[in-house]
Amino acid sequence: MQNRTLFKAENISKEYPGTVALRGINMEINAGEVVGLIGENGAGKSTLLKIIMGIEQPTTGRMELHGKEYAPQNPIHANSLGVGMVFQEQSLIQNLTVGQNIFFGQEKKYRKFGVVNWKRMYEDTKQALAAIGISNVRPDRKVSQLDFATRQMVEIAKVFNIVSNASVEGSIILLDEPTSVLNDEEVKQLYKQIDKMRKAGNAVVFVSHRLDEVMEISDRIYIFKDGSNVGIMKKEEANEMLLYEKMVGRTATGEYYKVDRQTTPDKEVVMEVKNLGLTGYFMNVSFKLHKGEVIGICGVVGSGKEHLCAVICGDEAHTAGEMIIKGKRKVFSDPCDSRKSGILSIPKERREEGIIGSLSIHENICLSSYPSVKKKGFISKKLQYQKALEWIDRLGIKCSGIKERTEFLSGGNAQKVVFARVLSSGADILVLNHPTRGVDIGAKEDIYGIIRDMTAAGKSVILLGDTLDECIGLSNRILVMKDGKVTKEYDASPSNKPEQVDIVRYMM
Amino acid sequence: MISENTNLSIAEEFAAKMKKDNQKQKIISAAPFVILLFLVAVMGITVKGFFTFDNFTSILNQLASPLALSLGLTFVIIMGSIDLSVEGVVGFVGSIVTLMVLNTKTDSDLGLAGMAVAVLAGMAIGFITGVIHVKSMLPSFMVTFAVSKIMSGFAVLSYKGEPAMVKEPLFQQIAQGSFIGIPVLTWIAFIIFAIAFFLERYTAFGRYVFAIGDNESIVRNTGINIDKIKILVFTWSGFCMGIAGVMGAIRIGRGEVLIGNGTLFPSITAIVVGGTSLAGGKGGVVNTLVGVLIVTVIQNGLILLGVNPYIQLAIQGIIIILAVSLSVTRGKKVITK
Amino acid sequence: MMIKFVKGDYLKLNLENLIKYLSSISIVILIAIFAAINANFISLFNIKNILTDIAPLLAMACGVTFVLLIGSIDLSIGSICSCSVVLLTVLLQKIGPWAYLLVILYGVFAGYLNGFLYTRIKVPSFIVTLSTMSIWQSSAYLLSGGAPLPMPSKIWPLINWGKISFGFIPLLFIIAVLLMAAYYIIQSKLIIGKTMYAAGANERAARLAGLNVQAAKVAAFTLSGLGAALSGIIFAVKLKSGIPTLGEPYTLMAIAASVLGGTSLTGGKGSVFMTILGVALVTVIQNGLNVAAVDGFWQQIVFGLLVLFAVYISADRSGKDLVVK
Repeated sequence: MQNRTLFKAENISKEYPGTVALRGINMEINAGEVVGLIGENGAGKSTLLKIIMGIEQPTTGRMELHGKEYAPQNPIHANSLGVGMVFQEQSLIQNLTVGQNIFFGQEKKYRKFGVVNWKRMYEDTKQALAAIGISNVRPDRKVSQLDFATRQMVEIAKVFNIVSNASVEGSIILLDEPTSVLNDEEVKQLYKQIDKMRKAGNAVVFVSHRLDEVMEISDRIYIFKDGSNVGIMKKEEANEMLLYEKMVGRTATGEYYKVDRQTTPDKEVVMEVKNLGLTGYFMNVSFKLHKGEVIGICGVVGSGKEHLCAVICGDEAHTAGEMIIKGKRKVFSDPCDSRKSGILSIPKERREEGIIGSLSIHENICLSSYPSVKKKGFISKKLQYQKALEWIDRLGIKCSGIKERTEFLSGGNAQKVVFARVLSSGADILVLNHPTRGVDIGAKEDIYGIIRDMTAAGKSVILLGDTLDECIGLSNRILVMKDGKVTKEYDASPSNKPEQVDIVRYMM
Repeated sequence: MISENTNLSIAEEFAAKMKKDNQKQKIISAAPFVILLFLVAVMGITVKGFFTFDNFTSILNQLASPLALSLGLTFVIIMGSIDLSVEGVVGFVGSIVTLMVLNTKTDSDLGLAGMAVAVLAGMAIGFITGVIHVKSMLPSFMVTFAVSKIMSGFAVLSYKGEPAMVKEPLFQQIAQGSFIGIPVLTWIAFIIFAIAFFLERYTAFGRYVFAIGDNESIVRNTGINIDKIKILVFTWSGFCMGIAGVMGAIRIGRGEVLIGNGTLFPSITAIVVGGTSLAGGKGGVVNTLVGVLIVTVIQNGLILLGVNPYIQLAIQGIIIILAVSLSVTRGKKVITK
Repeated sequence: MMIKFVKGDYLKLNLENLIKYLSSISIVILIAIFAAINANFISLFNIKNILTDIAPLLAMACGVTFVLLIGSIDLSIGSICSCSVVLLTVLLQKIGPWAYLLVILYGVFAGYLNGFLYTRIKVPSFIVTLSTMSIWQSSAYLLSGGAPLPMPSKIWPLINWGKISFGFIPLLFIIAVLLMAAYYIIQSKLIIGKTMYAAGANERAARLAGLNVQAAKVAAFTLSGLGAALSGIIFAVKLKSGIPTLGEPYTLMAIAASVLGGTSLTGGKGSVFMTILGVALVTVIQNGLNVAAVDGFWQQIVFGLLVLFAVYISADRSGKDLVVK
């Protein structure tokens, strides 16, 4: 194993309005090495990858590649310098063949008088596949006919082909959660491919939430937490407990989450799910939600919690099991249906799904409660204004007026508009999907207060917390999900909050 | 609702779901061929005069113009766009070509050169349409819809209400000529098919068109000049409309905007019925050929049965809806407008 | 109770309002030009003509505005209009004044069919309406036997009300305005109208907010069909003849009128109230061109270019990753 340094990151920071995603990251990647990168959701892993790929630009700091200054302007630029990434969402064109995908954009090499010599391209394709150890995929098969794992392999071959041709000195391949849809056999195959790439003098960065895999394949492991690098562990030193501890660190104080205001839920069950499942995303989820209760659901990306959320708020219809709302069995295929049963959600993507940016604040606030602003059967502007003003006051929404277009509000205030909409709708089962994402500290505290007010008023909440901390702090009970199943249930009453370390173990 | 929880993990469930989807896709893609065979069989049995040499020649004749048009539109649709300018452009080209060859209204006698110029005019209109669509970022349906109206206006303008009658002998020869039993016009359509086939399968351009239709954002990240491809596709479409326009003028021996009438529908129907998806990224010229055959055979059968031509128009509308509804496989999250 | 006035309240000269001002100013300028060319243009008689011409287009344009609001398109309105014209001519002879009701019901049905097909099959609206366009066009031909149907004198008493006017304001115009008023109430005062705006602006968010987006879509197309049928009724009464191809050129004009009135092609923006501005502009242009004796085909060219222009300046191209198909 050579010890040549391929890549260096010095003091990389990335700030977004309202949040700091990365703080002073230093990193070294050497030739022939596999570097593991772990951390919770929001720890900054994806942001760092994006910066290395040139998708985002760092706020401060610099990078070096092969000893020279490295500042990629976009992914194509990064590729040309020998840095490539295999994304979680695949980038293959379905109706093109394996070879056509791997060499997409490079047809010129095989072109003569406008005609492309596919045969020659397919020969080269076989080599490109062999370079990462794949020998049983036909280069002329359409990608749409391949299964997921094979597509992943083709994806890796494609990226590897691009970067290894670009750089003589050794390229860097970034893998972002490559194993989330692979079974054990396929994971082993992936290891072989990574091994082949590494032995040829390249470096691989392996980002995954599956700690066992990271420990098996990596030479060194970087641990991120809240945007900082909290540790670098060598393969020999690493064990699960150590990793967990580093990843979660110390717990934030209960004051922040207003744990003292946590209410004890009623005995009344407002919602019950039995063996709920959505093909391919989660299965066998069962729990009871009581009036005034907050159930937090923890899990990494791909654990199924997002889809569980979608099923509960009516965005998708479940394919297995039962959902019983206030004693009645329901199947929702549209949020309009679940709304009638008193369920509303605060969506994860605020700008795209939470607010309607081009509409004014007062329209957004009334969006889920039009019947309540009607006078003699017609919607009354006056009642709309009244309602909007009332909620702006109540939630402390900073804006220049109720007729302002919602898209101009800051993250925190826009989120408060969403809360106003949901709270004024009369819905009593609320699904909060990352409610404090991208919101500044002051607004976050306000939102925690709002959530406490909600439960005190008898509303029930399903919470997907932005951080593990938040989930623990706000919830009465916690469900931990991994790979589509609930792995552990915790009671989280104020005196009995579980430790992050424990929960993380069931998440990964 | 209880599922058989025999699968051990969601990864396996997911893989199983994908496999099922793939199988469904295979069935759907084979459907057009089966439908065509079925149709021919049924027509042969139930419709008098279907299985005759004369009728087959008639079918071959009828499919020339729709085939040429559909081959142009196919690329546009695979790319995920639409070209509604067919009727206007075909009418326009059909009108001006008669003014350039030997005719009763003007003194020109450009013969083949005139026909070539007319086709080039079609290409030029397609090019301009593409440029407008790409540069102004207006949806293709809007741009091409407007272009159709504009070009039919220009078509009428060109002959000022009085169509030119063609005296060019070449027109008659082409209209009535045939080579080994197949009409000349149909040969021309087959040549266009060969070109289209080549473009689709053997050039990078063809691959790019599919890629853009499948997922334009991915292609954007590869640095390929998407604008150029789009403009080329509309230019090709315009070229095919030019061919169809000249064919139309040859057929009726005079130039008027009506040459374009009723040409849009059969083309779109043919493409959709043949299995090319309106959403883009899927299908091909072979699909279109099958689709054109299906549409022409149906039309032919309806004519033989003496069905009111107005009803035929309605039937085409119903066929499009049926064909499209059967081929939609997109998931819930995709929003169509 | 104080309502805070904000920056957004004042008449900002931004791109959105530009179109509205453009349309209003254009109307004034054009009237001046046409009046200069031919003084008859501003005679009371001609004003009555213009208002009578505005009536059917207003009905159709108000209807299609709803479809544009949800971000879709309705290419079948011209054919629904044509079919209504023929249907009315035929039915008046068979069942007397009940024909009016039946034709209105037909419009509702045709529009509902569009909406139903659109929401059930996840296919672009232009394909659905392109198909129904052919179905209704075909029906119009069949009902009329292919040629314009005259209205026999025995049914004239049933259509003579179309001649009534109050001074220079024709009754037909008032009917169209009443439709616009009713549509305005639907658009601004009923939940289904608010849902249309929300769905056009951001369908995903509207859906997650619990609004019944599917119902709003069906309603939009239904109202469009009704508007088209009403325009057909007005045409038939005005022209006293059942012409099966009458509605065809009006599809583009109605869409142009709506867009010129500030309706966005991508949805979420527009109002039937403003559509009348666009209708007025289109009609003034058409009427003026007629009075100035310009050939018919030039009108088509002019309208095609006008639509492109109007749509171009009103399009929102701010999205960095915008993918336009």
